[in-house]
Amino acid sequence: MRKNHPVRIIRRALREPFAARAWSELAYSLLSLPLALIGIVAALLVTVFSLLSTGVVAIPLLFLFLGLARGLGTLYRGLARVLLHLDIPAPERLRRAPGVLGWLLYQVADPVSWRVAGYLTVRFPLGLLQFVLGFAWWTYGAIFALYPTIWRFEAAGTGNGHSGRHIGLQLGDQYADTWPRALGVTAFGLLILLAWPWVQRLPLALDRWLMPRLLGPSETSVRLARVTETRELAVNEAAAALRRIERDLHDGAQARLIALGMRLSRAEARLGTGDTELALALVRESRRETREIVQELRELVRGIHPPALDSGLGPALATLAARCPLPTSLRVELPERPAPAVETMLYFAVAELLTNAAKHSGAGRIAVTVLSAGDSLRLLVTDDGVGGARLDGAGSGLRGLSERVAIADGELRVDSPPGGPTTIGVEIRR
Amino acid sequence: MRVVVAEDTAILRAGLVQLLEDEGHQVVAAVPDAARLLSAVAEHRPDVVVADIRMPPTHTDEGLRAAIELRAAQPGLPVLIFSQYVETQYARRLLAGNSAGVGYLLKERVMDTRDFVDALERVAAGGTALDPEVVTQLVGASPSRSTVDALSPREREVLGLMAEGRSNGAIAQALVVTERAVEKHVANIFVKLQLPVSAADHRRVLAVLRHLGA
Repeated sequence: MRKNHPVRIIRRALREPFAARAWSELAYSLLSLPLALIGIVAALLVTVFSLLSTGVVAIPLLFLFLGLARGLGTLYRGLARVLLHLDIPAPERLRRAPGVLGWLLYQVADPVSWRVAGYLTVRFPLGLLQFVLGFAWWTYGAIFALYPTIWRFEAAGTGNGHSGRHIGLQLGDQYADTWPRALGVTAFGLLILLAWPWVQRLPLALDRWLMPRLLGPSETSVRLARVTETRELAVNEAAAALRRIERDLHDGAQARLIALGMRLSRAEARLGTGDTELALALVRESRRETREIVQELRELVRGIHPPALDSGLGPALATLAARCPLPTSLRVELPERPAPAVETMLYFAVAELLTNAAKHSGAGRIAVTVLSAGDSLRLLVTDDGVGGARLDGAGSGLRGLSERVAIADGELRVDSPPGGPTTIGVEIRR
Repeated sequence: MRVVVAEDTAILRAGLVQLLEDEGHQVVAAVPDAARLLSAVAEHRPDVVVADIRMPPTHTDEGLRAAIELRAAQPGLPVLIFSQYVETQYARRLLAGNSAGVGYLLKERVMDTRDFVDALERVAAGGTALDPEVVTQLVGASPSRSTVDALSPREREVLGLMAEGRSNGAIAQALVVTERAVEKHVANIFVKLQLPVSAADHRRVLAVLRHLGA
């Protein structure tokens, strides 16, 4: 409520024309006109020349124009970054196919260049509007505000100011040639200047909307880049998982089974020589060893695919929560079962987050929540520990988890101020 | 015999030491990696070395490389490599040069204590001991596979046992036939593979292995 107090609003309004933002936007509006002119002139020249000349001349002109368009696109992105604090990543061009035809298509059928060309076309009227509502508005505001000075200066220049000719601004048949009137003009100018930051923001808002769409990478290419990246992660992750399983089996169960066989072989030899007491001891050890091997294999199997997941995410997470050394509360509210891949991902995410919390956070309790939110699922794991967990921390396990979440088209967020509490959120499309 | 054992899995290392000592051999050093294997051999000058292939730090072929290095420095040093899996390429690298006093067995062979100790003693005496699995793979990957296919099933069995490094007597025992019959099969094999006949066991193995492309 404090935020909308009238005094605060007025104070903010009075401050706005002096804010750095207003001035950098003014600079942008000022540059709009020449840049818009260059763009439209280039487009017009190409069109006119193409119509007048044969195709032989038109094609190199087209190359030139598209090259210029890309250059202007880069310039606009730079201006937007510096003056509007609008960060637009450069779009990636299509890969060039081999051969002359490939080169031609690369030059002419490039969607990136044509989108910039589209922007340049829209940019002309928009640029004019920006110039008028930005630079021109501000200029008039400044001139009106300083009107008495100009009026007196001009009057002094033409003698004593009573030569019969009216000196000053004319509005209808009225002249602002008296002090009260002149001060009225100043007040009007000041009002214009006060309104200026907001007025110039109108066309800029449209520009801010247009630029990322036409100068930045297209939605498809952003999506493609993300898919490419996560696919690579998925392939590496799968290979790493297989290697881990192989290692666990090789160093674990496989080695222990061989040792077990050796022990049984020794027991057999002892029985042959009639040393039944030692043979019995060896057989007992073997039985204990067998039980341990079975346990180890069970753990390994759980790491590959937890059997509890077969009966749903809720029961599987309940098992995990029960196995956690810290008291863990669990709330799972899902109207329907998510896809198996999503369930598996969430299960392992919870397993890892619980292990992390138990190991590093110094927490007293943990809360796990799984909810459905619109067309996505949200997992929250909160602990009351020391906080300070970071996604980019050195050797951070969260980084790896975040990558695995990305593979399943999800996103991991960390909220862990120093001193706690820590909340790790995972959002994933169902 | 004085034996040096290199094996990174503690449980297997202990089992191996126990087994060898039960059989009346002396384990002078039992080490968990290749670097310590090299220094242990330099220090103790054992009669035979038993080494795992996959050991720290990279868990790839450290043991094999150490074995090759040891035999380069001390030609004829008997080395028995043992591993949980068989790689033809490993066998070839190990057998390149001189196959006398070389063995390559799967780890599970230690469960047949008698066979394992026999193989170790054979290697220590300058013979060869190859796992049947190794031989099968060598035959499978052999460039002269077609000539091997020309052998009768019985002859192929004998070839396999020969390649493992067994004597005629041992082959006869394994196949439950007379030694005379084995000799006949061996002669046939050498004729079919066009190999020079040799009486000495390990030369014979060498000839067979060369033929198999090892």
